[in-house]
Amino acid sequence: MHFLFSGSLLRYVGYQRQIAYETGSLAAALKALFKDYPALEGLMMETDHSLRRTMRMAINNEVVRSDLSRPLAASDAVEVMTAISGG
Amino acid sequence: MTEHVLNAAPDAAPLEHDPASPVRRQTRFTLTCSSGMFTHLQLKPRVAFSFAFMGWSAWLNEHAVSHGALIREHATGFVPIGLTIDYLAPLTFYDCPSLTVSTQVRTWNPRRFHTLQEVDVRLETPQGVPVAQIHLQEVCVRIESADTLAATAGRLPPALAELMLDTPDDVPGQPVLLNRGPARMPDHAQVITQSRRDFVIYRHACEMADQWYSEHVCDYVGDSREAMVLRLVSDYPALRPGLANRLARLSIGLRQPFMLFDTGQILTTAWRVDHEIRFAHQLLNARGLAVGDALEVFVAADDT
Repeated sequence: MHFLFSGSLLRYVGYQRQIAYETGSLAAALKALFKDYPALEGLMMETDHSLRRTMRMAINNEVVRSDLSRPLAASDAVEVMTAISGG
Repeated sequence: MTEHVLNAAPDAAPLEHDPASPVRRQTRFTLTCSSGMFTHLQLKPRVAFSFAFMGWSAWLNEHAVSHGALIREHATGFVPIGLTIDYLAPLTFYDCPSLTVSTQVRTWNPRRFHTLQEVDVRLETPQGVPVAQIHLQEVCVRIESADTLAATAGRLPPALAELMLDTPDDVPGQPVLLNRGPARMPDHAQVITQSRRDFVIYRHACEMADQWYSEHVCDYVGDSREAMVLRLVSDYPALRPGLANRLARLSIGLRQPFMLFDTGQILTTAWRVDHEIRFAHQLLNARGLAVGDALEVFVAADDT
């Protein structure tokens, strides 16, 4: 699988638009991502490990909100973005 | 994936203007002009929008809290969903050694909707000649991170509501949102031609959270129009006002933001409508979905 990043999140992943992991589930991929980029966890997740309401994730363009344990195939793309930026 | 948080219910009746609404508080300041702010014909639209956003920030500073405090201390922001410029007089750089920026803001809570702002900005010469009237429609967002500005649409928190709302009560009726889709052309409008132009969002066109800054949208649509006219004017002379004449009016509706390094495309259709040449633009995201629109209106010259 690979994560796709844009906008203000790019600065937290060294401006890499695409980061790949060899894992079989979204939960495992997120764990690997946060290990490599610890600052992302607080930005993306609530303390109860649910996705913050101001964040959006989509697996192959399908929005994911609550089921973060979904299995992933090697070719799956998980897009991560802020819901809106406002200022 | 599409983010529709900024759209109202499509079938609601528009809100009537309230003649009893209170006089809006005003802020004024003057800016010195330089030649780069103008084309040979007029003040550039992006500069006009930039002055309008400065006017809004100045209004916040004078009548509420600074823009920075709005974000960091009150976790609140406003996102533009509609922008218009009406050019009022044919003035060039030589007519405008400076411009006075006068800003009025209406802040209100439509019933069952997010807090809205209607921002009206007037640009005038030192002699009081009106140059342009700009209108911004903005939706309130509640911000979760001061660094990324990740946010969701919402209402003003109580401390800001007291400072900013024109009336503490919800206003009945659905608001008329400026981002509900492209304006209809009249039945007698004639298509001249159509073209597309790609764009990429780079940091110079973003605000502090690496989201596009909406004042630059007029540059993307302007690029598409200018490229169309340059390439096709020999085949379609009617396009010539798109470079040779003053822009009379520009309106923009935004439904979804672009982020740093996002790619998109402007689909531009040129129309003849009576004595006007209109360039209707659709903003398409990387998936080809229409996420915004714009309309540029030029008065046609008699010989085209």
